[in-house]
Amino acid sequence: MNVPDIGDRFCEKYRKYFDAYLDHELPIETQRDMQQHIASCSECARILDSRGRMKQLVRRAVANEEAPLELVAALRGRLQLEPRSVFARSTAGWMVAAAAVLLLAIGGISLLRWDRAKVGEILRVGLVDHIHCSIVAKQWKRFVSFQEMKDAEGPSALGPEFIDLVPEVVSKLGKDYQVVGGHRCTAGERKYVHILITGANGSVLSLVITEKRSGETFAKADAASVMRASGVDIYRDRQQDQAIAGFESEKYLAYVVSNLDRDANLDVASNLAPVVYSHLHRLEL
Amino acid sequence: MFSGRKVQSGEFEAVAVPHLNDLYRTAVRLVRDPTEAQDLVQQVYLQAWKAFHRFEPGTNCRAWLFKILINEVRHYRRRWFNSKTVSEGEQSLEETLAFEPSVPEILQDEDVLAALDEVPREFREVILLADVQEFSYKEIAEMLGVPAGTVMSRLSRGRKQLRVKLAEYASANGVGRKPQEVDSYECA
Repeated sequence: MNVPDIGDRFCEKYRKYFDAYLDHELPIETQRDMQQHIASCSECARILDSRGRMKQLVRRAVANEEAPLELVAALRGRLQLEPRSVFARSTAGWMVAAAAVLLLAIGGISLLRWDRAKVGEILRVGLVDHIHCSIVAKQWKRFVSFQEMKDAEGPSALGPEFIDLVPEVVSKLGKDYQVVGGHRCTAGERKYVHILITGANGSVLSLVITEKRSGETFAKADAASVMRASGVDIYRDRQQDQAIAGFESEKYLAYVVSNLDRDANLDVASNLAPVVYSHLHRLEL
Repeated sequence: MFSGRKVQSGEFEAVAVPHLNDLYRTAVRLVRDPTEAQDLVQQVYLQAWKAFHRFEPGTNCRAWLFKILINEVRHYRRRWFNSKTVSEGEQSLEETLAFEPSVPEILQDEDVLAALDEVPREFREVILLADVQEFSYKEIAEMLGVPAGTVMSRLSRGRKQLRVKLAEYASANGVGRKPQEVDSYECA
């Protein structure tokens, strides 16, 4: 058995090259030597494994950062002013290329268009209830079964208008997510329908629906970004460490808010948006 | 007088634009300021476009853009800071780490980024280029204008510092944190 011993000069000789080994920078013969040593030294194997894990953690954390859509728009504007600019002659090409970059980032959702400024205020309407009910009151901790949601009565019950939305949502969430409750609630003098969802690694998500007030629409807001999933435009932002994606029907605003990263939250929203929109549309008929 | 080849408009878009996200991510971590990072990336593309007639098709456009970014970051720092660099003489202090703690298996991205941001810029730079962008030591050496040995040494020292900071974050915050406990509100 190998006893960890930092003073062991034999191990030290190899550990000096661990970084280069992980970066695939060692000659093939040295790599083989290294692999033989690792196979027989548990302490060196632990250290090498730990260093490899750190590389992965750093890569994942940094790669989650995504160029803001405003940057793409700003770049386009600045380059158009340049004397040698190709963009004055080829705006469409730039748009396609920019869309390709964003497609890579958001995975499978087609980008339709973007506007310039921010969509913050109208997205905050959904954030308020998520913060109030999921984050602060921690409603997600108390599991409520579908039967209990059906049997519920009074002002907090989902009621006949929204109870059928629950199985539709369940069918569109991946296996990594679970509906843990659903009710009506009030936050900031506004009434919401709220479906609570949890996922892996402590993620807490809310599907939040509220009736529009006069003049409230994403279409008139200065939107940072607009994606489309099965015909529904989705707007997104990140506020107070929570990712928000919002969409609308004629009379309702709907949101997916979570502590997931923006892309993962958008994935969930794009999966849910079509069924939620259809449900809301049926209510409006 | 202009030298080089005639540039086709679509060519710049096709080879340069796909690297936008990678450049932005790196810039944000280097200057630790999203607004400045956006500005820097715009400068990179402006510089790249102006010099694109000298770019040789078939060579590594990504490495070329990153080299421009590194230079832009240096100019940015000269404008705003007296850039504090870490002298090679400080190495002996870092070498005294006796036991190498395991990097925790689960860490929040925010903690990893916060720990990374605390690593001196010269080391953070090589970590970003090697670990995130996966450039070779030779490519990084060319971008930074230093020997490959210096790249290796900075990587080794930077990663060592990062390991220590990650271990500190993990023990200070707990692994796999949940949202903060607040009990003073009721859900109506």
